Amino acid sequence: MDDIESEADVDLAKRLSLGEERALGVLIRRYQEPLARYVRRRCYTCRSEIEDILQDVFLRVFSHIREFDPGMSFSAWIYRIAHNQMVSRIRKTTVRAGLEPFDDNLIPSSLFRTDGPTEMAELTRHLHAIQERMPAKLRDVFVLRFLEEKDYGEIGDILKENGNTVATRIRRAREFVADEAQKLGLNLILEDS
Amino acid sequence: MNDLSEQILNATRARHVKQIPAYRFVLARFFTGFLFVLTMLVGSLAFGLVLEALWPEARQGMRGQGFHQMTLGALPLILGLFTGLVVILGAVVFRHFRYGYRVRGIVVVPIVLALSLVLGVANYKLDLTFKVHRTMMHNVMPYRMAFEGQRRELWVNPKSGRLAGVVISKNSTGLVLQDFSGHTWIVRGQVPLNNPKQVRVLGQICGNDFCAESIEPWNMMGGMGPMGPGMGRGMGHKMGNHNW
Repeated sequence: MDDIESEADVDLAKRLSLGEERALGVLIRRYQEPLARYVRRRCYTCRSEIEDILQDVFLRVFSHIREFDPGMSFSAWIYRIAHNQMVSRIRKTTVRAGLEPFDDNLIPSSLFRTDGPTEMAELTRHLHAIQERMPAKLRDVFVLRFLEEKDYGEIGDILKENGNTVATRIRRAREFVADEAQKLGLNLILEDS
Repeated sequence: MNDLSEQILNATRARHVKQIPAYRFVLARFFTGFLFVLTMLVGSLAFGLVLEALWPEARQGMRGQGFHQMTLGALPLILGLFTGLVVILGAVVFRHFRYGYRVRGIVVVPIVLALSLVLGVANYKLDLTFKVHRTMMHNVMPYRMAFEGQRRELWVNPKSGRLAGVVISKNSTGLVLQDFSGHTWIVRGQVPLNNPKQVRVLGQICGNDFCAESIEPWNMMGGMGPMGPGMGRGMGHKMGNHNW
């Protein structure tokens, strides 16, 4: 295994900006799965297009790498690109695809606590339904904070919002989930560590 | 190398995707900065023009004219609104700085506003807005008209010692004047030699007539302050500073 595999994102970005294509390969391997999971979690209608979205993301990373500023984390930068590509794809999609079953493994069990002995599969299904009804801006922070477990600063960099706005949206997302869960007869609290 | 990375690297070659040179991003940032500076300059000029229109010297020149008549004139209000719009635009441009989004709008707007106001006062003190105002009075008809209406209204106020209008006839002791509101007056005083068609008169009501202390052409060349040629700020320190 080459040393380049263990290098930090910032160093790989620097190598790529100097024209070293191997660095792009490493970055793709490193971010392919997290980004695919993020797109799956955030955009149900994009699932059949994930490969295209990822291809666009990495091509943009390649072409715009000299725009990357180490003042922000590479992870936030690449998530921002993925987010923008996804939003652009959502805008272009006029026909709404049918919802696919929510994968259990997309929701960590540490995410929430309940009072009752509800089955995990059932909770997941409910959470899926709640997330589907959530306004887009709240869903953005919900996925990034509770499913991707990004910190507030990184979420701000991804969505290009300031920390206060992110905090407010996260609070609203939690309230939304709690309210909607209550309507379903559940006492479901999102854990925000 | 896995499928996707191979696929993407092949795509970059097949589509001849090139890395965008760094200078293009630097230029884009420079352009954003330039836009921001531009909005600040325009905002400060607009605010400076508000100061031009509201300067206390001009109000004193009106001798008893109500403050609201000066301040509620349409142009200062429009310029004030324009300043506000420019401030909002500046805040939007600020958000497009590299990390501009990290600063809250509630912080950005006062900063941009304060910057516009401080620069506006500086422009005013350095006479920049006065020069802009003078240029616009001479060259921009809507701007001039906005001042002209206000100016006429302020000058047709005989109880406060001001009268202006069209000369109907004249003789050695005075002239017959139809003021801009349509009333006819006999004005007693020394008539200017250059036979102006429109005049402005400073003086006071005496019986049914108006006794003039001075009669001057309405469009006399002089300081183009908010009160028009020769009045207000233009007649004050500016006349001494500008040779026009």
